[in-house]
Amino acid sequence: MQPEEWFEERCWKPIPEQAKALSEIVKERGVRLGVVLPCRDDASTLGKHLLALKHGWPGGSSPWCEISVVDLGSLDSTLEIARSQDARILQGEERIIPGELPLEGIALVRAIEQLGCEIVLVAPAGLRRIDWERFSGLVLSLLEHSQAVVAIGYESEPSNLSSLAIRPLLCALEENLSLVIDPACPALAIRCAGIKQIKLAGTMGYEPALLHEVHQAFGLEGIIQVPIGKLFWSEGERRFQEDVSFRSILALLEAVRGHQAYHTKDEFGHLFPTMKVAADGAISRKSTLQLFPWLGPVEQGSTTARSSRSS
Amino acid sequence: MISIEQAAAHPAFWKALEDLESKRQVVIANAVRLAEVASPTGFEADRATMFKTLLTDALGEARIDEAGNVLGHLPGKGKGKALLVTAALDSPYSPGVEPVIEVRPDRLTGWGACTNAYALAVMAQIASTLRAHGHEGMCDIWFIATVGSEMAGDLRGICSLFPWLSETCSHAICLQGPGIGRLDHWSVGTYRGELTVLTPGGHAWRDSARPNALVLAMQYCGTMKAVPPQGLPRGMFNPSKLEAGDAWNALPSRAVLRFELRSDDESDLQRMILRAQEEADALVAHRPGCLAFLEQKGFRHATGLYPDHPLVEGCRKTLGWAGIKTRLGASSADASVCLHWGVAAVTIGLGSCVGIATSQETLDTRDLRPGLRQALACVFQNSMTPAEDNADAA
Repeated sequence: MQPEEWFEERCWKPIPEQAKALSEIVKERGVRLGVVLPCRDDASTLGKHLLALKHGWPGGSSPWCEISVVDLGSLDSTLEIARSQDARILQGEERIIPGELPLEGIALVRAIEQLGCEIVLVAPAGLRRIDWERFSGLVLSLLEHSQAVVAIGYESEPSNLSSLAIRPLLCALEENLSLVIDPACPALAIRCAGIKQIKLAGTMGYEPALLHEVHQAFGLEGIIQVPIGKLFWSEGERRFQEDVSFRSILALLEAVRGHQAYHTKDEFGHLFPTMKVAADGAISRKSTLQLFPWLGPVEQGSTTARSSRSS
Repeated sequence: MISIEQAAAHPAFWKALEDLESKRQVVIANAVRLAEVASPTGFEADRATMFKTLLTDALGEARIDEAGNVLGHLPGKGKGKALLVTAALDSPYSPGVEPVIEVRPDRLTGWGACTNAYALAVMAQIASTLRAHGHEGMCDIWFIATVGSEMAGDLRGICSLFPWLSETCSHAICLQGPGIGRLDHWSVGTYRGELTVLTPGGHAWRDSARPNALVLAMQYCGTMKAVPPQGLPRGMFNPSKLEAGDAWNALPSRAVLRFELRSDDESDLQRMILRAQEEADALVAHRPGCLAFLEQKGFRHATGLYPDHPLVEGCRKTLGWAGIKTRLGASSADASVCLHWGVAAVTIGLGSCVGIATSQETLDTRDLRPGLRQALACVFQNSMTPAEDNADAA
C-alpha cells in the first residue's frame, strides 16, 4: 500500500451513531469485543466510565463481552470502585523494574493474555470524559478493515501536527509512519491475533514502539488512525508527565535497534543515579543501569522483567 | 385518574414497576451522560439533541420544536385528554461551565448532577417502560423536556406550548431531580424586575451634592423591603444583584438592581408590583437629570390546586404508598404556567440532593427506588381512566 493510498483509505471517517452501529455489528457478526481501562489513582473518573460501558451505552445494548480494569498501582479507592461496578480486574505478577509500579504497556499485555477477545479497546481511565461515540470508531475501523491490527486515535484534525516530540523522531526513523498524526495516542484498539505475534514494550509511552513493530510485521496495512476528539485528563496530560516522553523515545529506539535499523553494540538503557547518605553523614552515589524491558511475544514467553545491572 | 389502590390492581403496573426498578443503573448512566452536556439556560440545544435520541429510543419517535423543547408522544386508548409529564432541559449554572460528573458507588457529584439531568433520565425511562408495559386503559401521554426553566429563561419553553397544551392535556406531572417527598401543588407568584438608575455622575468631592446612582438603588431596596405584607399569605422582596460604580473618586452614574417579588397570593403580588413601579418613579422625582427604569424580566402567577384536589390527593397517597414522607409545598417552575392555563399540575422531587447549583452538587444514589416508584405510580394512575369509562370507550 502506498502512503497516499493509506492516508486516503485509513484515516477513519466517522459515521453517524457509531456506538449504536458497533452494537448492531457485534450482534450480527458475533464478534467478541473487550475493553480495558488502565488506571492509577483514577477513583474520580473510573466509576463513570464503567457505568457508561455497562449501562449507559447509546441505544441501550452494550457491545462489550469483557469490561476490565488493569490497576497500575493505585493508592486510592480505584479498585473498590471497579469491584462495585463488577468490572473484571486483570492481575499479574510482573514488575518490570524492581521497586517500580507496573506501567501502561502491561495493561495491553494482560488484556491480550487474559481476555480472549478478538478486538480489545484500550481507554485510559484517567480521562475526565470519554466520548464513546468517537471511541467506537477505533473498534469499528478494525471491523471494517480486516487486515489492520491496530487502530490508533488522534485528537486533532488531520491538518494539525502532534505536539509531542516523538513524532519527528518516528518520522526520521520510519518514513512511512510520518503519516500517523498522533503516534503516542494512549487510546487505541488492537486485533489480538495480530498483536500476539509481535513484541510489546512494557512501559509507559509504549504506543510509538507498538506502531513501529506493527509496521515492521504488517506494513502500512496493519495500521489505521481514527479521530477521537479532544482528550480531557483529570490530572493534566499524562504524556507530558515526567519521564513518559523519555521512556517513549527509549522504547522506540529500542524497537528500531531490535530490527537492526539502527546499530549499537548494546541494548538501550539509562543510568539511574541515586544518592545515599551513610550513618556518618557521608554522601555516596550509586548508579543503576536500567535496561529496556521487553515483553513477549505473548504466546511465546514470559512477561517477567529483564534485569537491571548496577555499576 | 385512578387511585393507587386501583392502579396496583393492574398486572401491567407491577410489570412496569419491576422493569423500571431493574433499570436503575441505566437511569443513572443516562443522567450522567445528560449532565455532562453543558446546558445553561438559553444554551440547551446540545442536551436537547441528546435527550431527543434517548426519547426516540424510548418511544420510537421524538422531535424538537421551534422553542427548543423535546416532545415525545405515547398514544393511548383511554378516554379523555392527555397527561403531560415534564422535566427541564436546562441546569442552574452559567455559560462556560464544563460539567464533569464524578461517579462513586453511593453518589454522583458535579455541576448539575441532579438538576435537571436526573429528572430527564427518569422521564425517558418511564416513557420506555410504559411503552413496553402500558395498559390499554391509558390515555395519551406527552413527555416534554422544556427549555428556559431556570432564572432568565422565564419558563419560555413551557409558555411556548400554550394554548395547544391546554387543549391537549388536562393534567401534568412535573419531575424535578432534588427534593424527594416534595409535592408542590401551588405556584409561588413571582415578579423578577431589573431597576436601572441613571444619574449625572461627577467627581466624588467636587460634585458631592449630586445624586449617587448606587445610593438611590440602595434606597430603593430599603423602601421595598418593607412592602411585602407580614404573616400569611407569605410574601417577600429579595434584592439579588446590584451593579454600579467605576472608580474610587467618581460618583456612580448608573446602577442596575435585580430583585424578585414573591407571594402566594396573586392580589398581594399585583399590589407589590404596582408599588415597585411607584417607588421607581418616586426615586427620581424632583431630581433633575436622573432617570429610573423598571423592566420586567420574569413573571409567574400565584395560583394552584387546593390540597383536596383529586390530583394532589391522589399523588399524596401515592407518595405515601411508595414509602415517602410527603411535604406539600409551593414552587415556581413549569407547573406554574400549566396552572395558570387551567391544566392541573403538581411537581414532585425524585432524589436526595445537596449543594444544589454548585460544583459539588451531589445526588445520593444509595436508594433511588422510592423516587422511581412514586414517579411511575403517579404517571400510571393519572394516565388511567376508571374502568367504567373505559367500558364506555370500548
